[in-house]
Amino acid sequence: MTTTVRRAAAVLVVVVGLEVLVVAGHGTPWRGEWNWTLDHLVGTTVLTGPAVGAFAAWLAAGERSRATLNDGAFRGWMVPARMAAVAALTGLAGFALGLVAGLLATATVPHGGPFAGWFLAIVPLLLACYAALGAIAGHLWPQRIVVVLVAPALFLLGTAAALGIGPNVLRQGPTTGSLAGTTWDAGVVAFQELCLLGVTLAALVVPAVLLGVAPKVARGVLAGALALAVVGVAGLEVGGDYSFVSSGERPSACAERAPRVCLAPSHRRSLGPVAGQLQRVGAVLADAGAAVPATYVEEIPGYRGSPGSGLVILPAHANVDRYPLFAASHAIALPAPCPAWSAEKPPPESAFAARELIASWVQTRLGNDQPPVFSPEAGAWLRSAPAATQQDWVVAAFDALRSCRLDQIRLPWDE
Amino acid sequence: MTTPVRVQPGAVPWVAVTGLSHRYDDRLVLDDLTLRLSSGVTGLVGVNGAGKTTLLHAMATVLRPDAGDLVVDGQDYRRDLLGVRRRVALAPQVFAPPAGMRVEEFLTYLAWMRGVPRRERAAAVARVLDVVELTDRADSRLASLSGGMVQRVNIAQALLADPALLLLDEPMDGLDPEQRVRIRKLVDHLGDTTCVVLSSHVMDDIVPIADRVLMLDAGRIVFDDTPSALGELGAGLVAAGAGLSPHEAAFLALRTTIGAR
Repeated sequence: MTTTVRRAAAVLVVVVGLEVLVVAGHGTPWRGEWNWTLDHLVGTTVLTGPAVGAFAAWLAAGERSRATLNDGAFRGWMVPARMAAVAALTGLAGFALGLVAGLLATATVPHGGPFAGWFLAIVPLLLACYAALGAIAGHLWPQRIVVVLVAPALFLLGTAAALGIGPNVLRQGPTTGSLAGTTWDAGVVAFQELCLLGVTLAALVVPAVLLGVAPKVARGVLAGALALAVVGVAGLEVGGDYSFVSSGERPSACAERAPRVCLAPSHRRSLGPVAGQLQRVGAVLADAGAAVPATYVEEIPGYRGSPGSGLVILPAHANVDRYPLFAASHAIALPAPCPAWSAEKPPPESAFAARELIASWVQTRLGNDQPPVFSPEAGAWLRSAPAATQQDWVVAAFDALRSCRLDQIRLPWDE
Repeated sequence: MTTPVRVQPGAVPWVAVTGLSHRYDDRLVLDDLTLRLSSGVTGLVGVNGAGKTTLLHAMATVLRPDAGDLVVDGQDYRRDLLGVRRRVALAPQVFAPPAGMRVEEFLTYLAWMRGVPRRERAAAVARVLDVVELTDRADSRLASLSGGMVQRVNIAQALLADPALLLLDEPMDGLDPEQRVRIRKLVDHLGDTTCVVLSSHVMDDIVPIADRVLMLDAGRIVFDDTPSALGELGAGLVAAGAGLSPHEAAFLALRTTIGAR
């Protein structure tokens, strides 16, 4: 085993450890969404990228102790590039291991949703860019302190966009919550990749410029690389750096129960728990005489449901294999995708309160004596109003919600 | 008063250095230096600070001189720097190979750096290890080698790309007598086919193997002739010297003459 391979193997262990750290920090339990999986795997570069950069800096700084030997050699100017390549390939090997593990993990749980595999192309560019920046830092300032500072510096560089400094390029995920219904905007990613390519090339050609190798060509490549980066940044500044667009995913993963529940295939893993809970709370309303829609469909970005169907909104942080009664009782109280819910002028406050009260009532009927209530009046009504009165009001309010007559809803104590 | 002597350059010089000048801050270390080199061993002598290493670094294109031209085997470094770098190799005085690496691995890496094509690297490494008689240490870690062996690795790396001009900067510095003899033999052998410039501040390392001696002082060539001519120059001074060889006597005399100017 060569020295380089031994060093790379040691760094590989670190890279894989950082991947586990990132994914474990965001990804338990495993969601089963293909794009979420990709996002989290690519998102590991938030930590592995700076680590790769530090490795490249260390290698390049070590080579400067042989500057007399290297600088006059035919390929001496390529030494930082070679060190960057070693570091980037090490990072890429770690990413490949993580990718295999992540895809297997997704395949072994109920899974689905779009798979934007093309997005993975950004990973080699990200790692190359981190490595190139690290290598050139180690080449220009071959001090131990620089090597130590490279990783935090690159990490901070990645977070610059979050602080409002320039567009986001280096930080790709991991995104909090689900990515159902969304995918990456190819235009934004292309500009980011252009930027990464430009910065990488520019960093790698700097030694050629400094060593006077083919000065015209080197300066030309440097100018061209910087131009690429500028075009990328300009594209992101003009068009925005928000990376996600609608994927066109529809709630087509259905559980044939009463009510029928359809979620985005990305959320297939949640289908059983969600359908089970909706069946439970739906039965309460149906027993009371409410006309519960036959189907509840999930609201996802780019899709707001179909007339005649109820809406399911999965909380962003919901546990994928457990759907709480609280969430289910609120979901069942959204029996129609009324345009008013998302209109510029919101529906009357009483419509929101009616949903809350129906949800609380359903919970009391299922044995929760102290459901969360939004007002003292609601609590008092649930405790003291006759059961028949409560049931009549719930059926009427549910019917109004289902037919989108939101402005006609009156709360019991307002009547 | 002794005047510098010059030999006529060879009919087809492999290396032509013209008007080379360089300063470090205010100190002139190479002063309008012109020389021609052909095959054989050229000894470059001078005291510390005479400009030997600067001259070698300029010829190796490690350093960009303030003025002057360098042509190696027909390639002008200003027009074709990489072309020159293909033809020149330096074994630097400060040679710090990565201690954890094995000899063969390190040489293979340097073969890449010196532009040896991938297919030829293994053969090139085997060849130079044979030349420096380290074939049996190919798998040894560099940290385990003696000082003399490390110097031979240094020379081996310089030979990887079959250079037309081989620059050896104080290769015998710090070696014991046996290792010095071994390196001398090696350099003598290399001079049969290559233009070798061997720098040293010790005359005894140079005289036995050099075909020509260049003496530098304060960035100028103060002597350029054969070792025997240097010896003759110093022969008359031996009596006055305290145990000096003719070459050392000449060296001192030349320095004194230059210093008095």
